[in-house]
Amino acid sequence: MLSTLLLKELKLEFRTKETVLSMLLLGTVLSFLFSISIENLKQEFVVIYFWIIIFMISSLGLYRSYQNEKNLDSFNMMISSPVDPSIIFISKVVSFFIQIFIVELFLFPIIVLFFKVNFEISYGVFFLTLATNWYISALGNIIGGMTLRSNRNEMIIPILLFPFSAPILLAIIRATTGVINNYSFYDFSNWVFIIIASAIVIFILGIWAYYDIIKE
Amino acid sequence: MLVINNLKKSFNFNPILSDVSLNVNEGEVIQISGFNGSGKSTLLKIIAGVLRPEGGEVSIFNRNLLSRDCSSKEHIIYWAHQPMIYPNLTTYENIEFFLKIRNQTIPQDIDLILDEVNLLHLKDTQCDKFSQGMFQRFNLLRFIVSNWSVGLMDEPFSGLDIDGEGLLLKKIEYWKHKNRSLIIVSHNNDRLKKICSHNYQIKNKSLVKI
Repeated sequence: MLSTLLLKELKLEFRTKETVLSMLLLGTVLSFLFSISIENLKQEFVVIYFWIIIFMISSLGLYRSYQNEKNLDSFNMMISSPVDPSIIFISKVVSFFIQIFIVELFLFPIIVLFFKVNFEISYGVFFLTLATNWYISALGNIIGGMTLRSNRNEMIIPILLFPFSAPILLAIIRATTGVINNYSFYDFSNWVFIIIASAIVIFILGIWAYYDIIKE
Repeated sequence: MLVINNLKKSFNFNPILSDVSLNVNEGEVIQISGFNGSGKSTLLKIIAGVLRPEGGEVSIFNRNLLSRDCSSKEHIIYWAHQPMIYPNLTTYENIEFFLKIRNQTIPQDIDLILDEVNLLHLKDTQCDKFSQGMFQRFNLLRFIVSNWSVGLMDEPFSGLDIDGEGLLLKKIEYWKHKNRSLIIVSHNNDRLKKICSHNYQIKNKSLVKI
């Protein structure tokens, strides 16, 4: 069942590429605007900008994803079928996780180019990026589920996503800065644990609560 | 088979349904009518598991349809007012996905069925350009290809042409003959009235037999 739902999510996205392209376009525009507004930025600030951009474009991607479900009431077809809502949630988390990762793959060189900085992508940065993407995807889909019964999802997603993401945004900025500056792991390990624990907790919360979230 | 007991539903503290009860036996076709906004579609949405009631019970074959265990929904099929279709998938992909999430497989004679509902020429076409009538034909296709015990239809005749209406009525008679049950929300349709086992109206937030 999970593979059927995941395949549907990915097929819908990669047929139109609407979500990925709109996220990438917004990310590029924001990177350009940030890069021309301040010159000679330190690496640490570029990290801050990178993650702020990722959180901003995620809210756009989630809005598009849930708008597709609402357009012709397609989501009601799934919840009126014998499908466990937890499986729907997992498929949506995995699908959005893949989409953010693809956007980051293209956006990263654009940011390096615009900000004129040199980054070495270590395993540590790669792992932290994946963990944060998982958190954004799980939290975003919980919030997206809430918007299914609302006509204001373009407002609700950013209004709820940003405050709930703020601690993780802080943690990923601190942890990434620690990795790229080769600090001792003990100096930033608390931030890494916060990211991992939050990603796990929010994912389990979504699996448990999605049934109640999506029903009016 | 399908038992509804004392169902209650409100929107923003405005009661829409109160103490709605209904028993549907095998092979019964029940028509529900009522004024706009009387709660007909809300009742179907609750039975289909799309909406959550404030009180009451809905069960099928003695299994609670309102519980977290979704497996009992395999007996129910829902024809909503909206098409519940993915516009960027083709007709075939949509029906394949619909059957897969119901743990069913696409029948071998799918082309014949598509031809019967006049959608064969749109088999590999994305559904984003469908008209209301085509969406209704797609809903009919769902009912034909899948296994179910109780069908819920919300205004199934709206948007259908005369051929489609005739085909749907023929199918309703066929399903009744096959001991499948249907709850149909529809306004005045004289031919449907003749097929129906019982006619109900939603009056004062409750179901009244007419």
